Order: sequence, then C-alpha cells, then structure tokens
Amino acid sequence: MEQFSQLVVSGIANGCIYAIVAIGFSIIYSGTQVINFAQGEFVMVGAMVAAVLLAKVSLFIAFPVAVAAGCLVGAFVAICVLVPLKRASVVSLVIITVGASILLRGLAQLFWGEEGRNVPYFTGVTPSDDRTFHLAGAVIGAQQLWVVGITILLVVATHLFFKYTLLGRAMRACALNPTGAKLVGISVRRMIILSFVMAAGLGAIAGVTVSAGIYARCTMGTALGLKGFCAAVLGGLGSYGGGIAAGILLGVVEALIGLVIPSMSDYRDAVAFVILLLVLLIKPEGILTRKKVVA
Amino acid sequence: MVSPDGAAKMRRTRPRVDVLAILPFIVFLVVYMFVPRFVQDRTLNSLVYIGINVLLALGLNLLMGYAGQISLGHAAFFGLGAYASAIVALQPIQTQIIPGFSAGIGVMAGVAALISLTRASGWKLAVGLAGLFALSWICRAAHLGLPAALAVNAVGMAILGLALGIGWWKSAMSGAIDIAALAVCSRFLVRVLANSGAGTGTSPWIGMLAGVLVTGLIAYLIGAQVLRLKGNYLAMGTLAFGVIVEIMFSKWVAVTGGSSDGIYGIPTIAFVDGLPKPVRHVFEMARGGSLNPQQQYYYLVWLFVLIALILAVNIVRSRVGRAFRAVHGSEQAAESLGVDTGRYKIQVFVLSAALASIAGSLHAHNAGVGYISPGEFSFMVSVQLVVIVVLGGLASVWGALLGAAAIQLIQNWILTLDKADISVFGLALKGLDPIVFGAILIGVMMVMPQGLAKALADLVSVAVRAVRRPSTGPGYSEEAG
Repeated sequence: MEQFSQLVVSGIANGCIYAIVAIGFSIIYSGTQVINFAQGEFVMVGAMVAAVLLAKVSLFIAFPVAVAAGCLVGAFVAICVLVPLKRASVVSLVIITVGASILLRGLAQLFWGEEGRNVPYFTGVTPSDDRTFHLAGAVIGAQQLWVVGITILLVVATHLFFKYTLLGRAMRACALNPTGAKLVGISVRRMIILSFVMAAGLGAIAGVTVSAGIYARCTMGTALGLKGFCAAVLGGLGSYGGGIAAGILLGVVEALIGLVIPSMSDYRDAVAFVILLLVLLIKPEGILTRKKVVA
Repeated sequence: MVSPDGAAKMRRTRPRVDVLAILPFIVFLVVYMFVPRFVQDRTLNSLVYIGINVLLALGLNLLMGYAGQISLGHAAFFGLGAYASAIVALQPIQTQIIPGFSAGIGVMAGVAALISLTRASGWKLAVGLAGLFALSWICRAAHLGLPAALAVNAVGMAILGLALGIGWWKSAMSGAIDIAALAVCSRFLVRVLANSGAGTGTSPWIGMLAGVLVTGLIAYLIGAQVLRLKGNYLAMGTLAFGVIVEIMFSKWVAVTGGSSDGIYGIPTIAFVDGLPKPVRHVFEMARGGSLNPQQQYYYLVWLFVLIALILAVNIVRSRVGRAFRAVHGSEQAAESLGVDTGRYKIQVFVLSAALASIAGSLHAHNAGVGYISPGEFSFMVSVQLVVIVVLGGLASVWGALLGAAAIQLIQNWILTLDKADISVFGLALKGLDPIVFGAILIGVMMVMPQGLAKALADLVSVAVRAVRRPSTGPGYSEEAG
C-alpha cells in the first residue's frame, strides 16, 4: 500500500509535466492544425538553459531567462512553419517541425554537450536536503509539490487567458474560423506566432520544473514530447481539460505498470507509446471527448 | 484533345517501347557492372550503404511522395528485416521461443484476416483481437492438438463474431487462419532448426523471406488501422510504432541480444559465387578477375536497387501509381471517382515496409560488418530516411538515388570532421548530423519543396533554353516541364 501511494504520487508529478506539454500541443493544433513535433524540444531548451544558468545565478534569474529562451525558440519554429504554410501540405509541415526538432537538439548538443546536468531543487539543494511531507504513507518531496502547484497555476492562467482577455479570444476566433477572424481585423499570422510562443513558454516552464527532479539532457525532448502528445490525443486534441486529465492518468499508469505487471518494468517507456498506438487505432478522437475526428 | 481516329488509338493495347524511358536503366546497368573494376573497396562499402538507403528511400518515397502518407517509423521495418535475417541466418533460434513466436505470427495473421474479411474497426476489432489472443492462449494452456485447436478457435471466433455482429463465418475463418499460420510457422521453424547443423546456419535467402513476410504482416496490421488517419495522426502513429519496436530491440534480450551486445557474427552472402557459371563469368569479366566479398556484396545490393528502381518506375507509370497520386491530391475526389483509397494506401504501406525489410536484411549481411544493434534502427534513422526522400525530391524515383548519395557524402564529411577534432570558438565540431539534417529538412521544404532532382532538372532546362534560343527568353517552359 505504501509503495502504491508512493508510486501514485510520483506518477502524478510526472503526469503534470505530460499535461503541460499536452496543452502546448493543443494550443498550436487549434491555431494551425499542425502537430508540432518540436514541442518536446521546447521542454529540453527550458531545462538545459535553466541547468546551465543555475550553476551561476539564482533561480529567480534562471527561471525567467529559461522561459524567455523557450519563447524565442518557439517564435523561430513558428516562422519556419509560417513561411510555407499557405501552399504546404500536412506532410511538409510535419517534415518542417521534425526538422526544427532535430536541429534544436543538435544545437543543444553542440553547445552544451551530451552529458546530463544536475539541477538543484527549487527549495533545498540535494534530494536529502529537500523538505518532505507525509500523506497516506507516501513521502512527498517539496519539488513534487512545486510541479503540481505550477501545473495548476498554468492551467488556471491559460484558461483565464483564453476566456477573458481580448488576445485570448482573438486566438480562439482564429482557431474556429481563420477567414472570419481575418475579416474582423485579427492578424492570423500574429496569432499563429503567438500560439507557438505560448506553447513554447509553457514547455519551457515544464522543462525548468522537471529538470530539478531528473538530470537535464539534450535528448530528453523526444520522449517527453511523444508522451505529451500521447496525453493530448488521449484527451482529444484541442481539448485542454482532456489533455490535463490524460497527462496525469498517463503518468500514474506509467508509474504503476511495474508494480502491477513486474515483467513489464523493463518496457516502462514503451507503455505510453503502446497506449498512444491503441488510442490511435481504436478511437482517434480521444477517449475523454465526444468530438469526432474526420478520418 | 479529341482526335478523329480516337477509336483506333484506343485499340492499340501493345505497349510501345519507349527508348527514353529505358535509356537510364541501360546506363545504370553499364555503370553497375563496371564500377568494381575502377573503384576501391572502401568506396564500394560506401556504395553499399548508399544502395541500402536507396532501397529504403524508394519505398518511403512511394508512400510519402506519391501516396502522400507520411511514415516516421520506417526504421522499425528496416530493423525488423535486419533482425529477422540475422536471427534466422545465425540459427540460434532457441527452441523455447518457437511456441511464443509462432503464436504471435498466428494471432497477427488472424487479425489480418479479421480486418480484411469483416472490415471491423474500433472496439469491435479490439474485442476480436482479444478473442483471438484468448483462444490461442486457451489452446496452448490446454495442450490441444492441431485439429482440436482449429475447432476451438473456429467455433469460439464464430460465437464472438455472432455476438459482435460482424459475420460469424468470417470471424470463424480468421480463427482458423490464426491456428493454421501458427502451425505452419512452428513447423517451419522446427525444420529450419533441424536443417541447420552446428555453425552452418540457415540460408540468408530464407531469412530475407522471413523478414519480408513478418514485416509485411506487421505493416498490414498497423497500416490497416493507422492509415484511416490523416497526416498528423499517421505521423505520430508510425513514430510511436517505431519507438516501440526500437525499445523491443534493446530490451527483448533473449531474442535480440539487447542494446549492448546486439547480434554479431552474421555471415555475408557470397552472391556471385552462388550464381550459375555463365552468369558468374559475366560478372568476373566486368570486374576483370575474381571477386572479393566486398565486391560481390556490392553487386548483390545494387542488383536489388536496380530491381526496385524498375519496380518503382513501373508502379508510378501504371494505373496503381496514378491512383496513389489521386489519393495524394484529394482522397475525397479519388474516392468519388471509384478509387478504393483504403486499399491503395495499405498496399503502398506494405510495399514500402517490404522494401525496407529487404534493405534491413542486406544491412545485416553486409560484408565485413556482420553486426547489428538497436541504435542502427532508432528514430534518428527514420528521420534520416525522410531527409533522403525530401532532399532527393518527393515523388521522384531517381531523386532517391540522388538523395541517398548526397546524404552519404555529407555523413562521410561529418565523420572526417569528427576525427579531425576541430573546434570553433571553443565548440568542438562533433556529431553535427542532427544539425545538418534538420537544416536540410527545413531549408529544402522552404526553398525547393520538390527536391534536388527537380531543382537540377530545372537548372538543366534553363541552361538548355539559354543556349538554344538566347533571344526569345522565357515562354517555352510549358513543354520542357
């Protein structure tokens, strides 16, 4: 039982990261109908910049700089996609974001090397230093609370932004009907760039938060991006609530699989992909929505 | 244009031999035969890699360039072919994997039958799949003989099919096919084991065939479902599939040797030595002497390339090729004109997977290497294949050659750079492949979305025009294109 609740806790903390990445996918998808394969690299950029900076400066400087770096990278990818957007097919857009993804990874490798970087916890320097709390037999680290807290904050902020601000409404208008949005004077281009920047910023925040628990490494982006995508599809692409729920669910399932089926613990990383494949095969519109995908 | 003798033209069914269409192949054949005479073994080795990449790119190009369906998991099919070949050829098929492996093949065949016979999809298919698994497991647990297992499966699946409303006799058929495939597969494996004495191994051709069959079957299963999805979802689905297969290669140590060991000691194929004497003499004359393993392997790989090129050119120019392009242009429009888009998409998917599998087998048996490990079939390899196709030109058969050669040159260059230990501004220039590949993908898509082959062709036609009629200028391009 103790082990169970412990695994659930760490699963939820991991799942929060997947949830944030999933929101990023959904923001870009609703704006452009593009699946951004570089989404995982946004997380990596956030994590790596924070890791590099934290060796010298405090978190209060490193965090915003890392997020800003992520936003910049997001704008770069947006421009790469935007230039040929009008005449390009889905295949070429996918190719461009894949290209951007490996380009970013390669650059990170060139500048920061391949080895993992240790990132101190937000409060406390080492895991043993970190303050812990006890709940239902599980030990909860302060960093895990940070992860959950930041996720909740981001989710609420994103929701408020889309619901109440003029900019957020303009973005939603673009997602629903680009031509109509253009007619009432909204710059669709700007909204697309903005959606990439937002998604990248969210990814970078997730990156900074996650890297304090694990090593930050140049190659971490692909797996995180794929798992986030899995959550996004599971929850229904374009549905924020679904993506969050699915992300946390995925994190918990991944953590528990080793406990439930011990022989599967070697294949832990494959769980998300098997789920993704099954969802795509059986119910591509996602299991947590009622929307129908045109297939 | 309507011509008065249209009816007479319609009657002409005998295909005319088009010299211009055959000329490239003749040139290709001549170059193919005489290259080893003038080229060193190291270059031949590069050529072998290029040839393998051309095979992969040709398949992927049919899928991506012509039918417009993206695959980001093509390295998985490449790897499946390689591992199937290596495992079969090396004979250490341990006896204990036979039942599980055969059961897997059986269930896959059963599901393939279920999909194609009943056209079930979604949760009905999932329940049918679960039923097939459960019934096979029951038969195995109860140690049933072949007739009893056949009966249990057929009856069980019939009941399940009745309950699901997908046609009882069709699902009974798929149950029977499941068991039949299982039986055939296990008999085959036992035979292979019995035939291979210690150390001699099985014929590589059987390994290649097994690879193509297994890979084709898996591609059919994946494709039949995933290809219902459009671009984005398809890309992610194939990507997820690729990652799963890669994880399996590195974690299923009993069969694949895991990530650290891999499989080694894979024999090469002495291709020319195995040919009948007159044909062998032709090769030896072209080479000007006897052939070493490297040269023989070069001939083998590029023979496959030649066959694949002919196949691809013919497919593209045929009714099927036009159907692929119609699917690419607009699926709805193609469907409204009576093109069975679903069937064509699966066909091209399976075809490209089979080509990738052959390439994998060739990769595994490469002379002087004899070693495979999971890293050679990673996501980056899938991306590299996309790079080759995009660089060479989407929807361009000969572009695949160009793209593969260009990428090999770039890789050789990166490798030299790695060894040279150069650093600029304190940055060691090492492992530049992702940067270069990423830049190529973005750059080509932005600047010349039709790829290198088309860009070169345009360049040539512009030059020809400039030489021919320097005064008139543009306006002649309609015919040249």
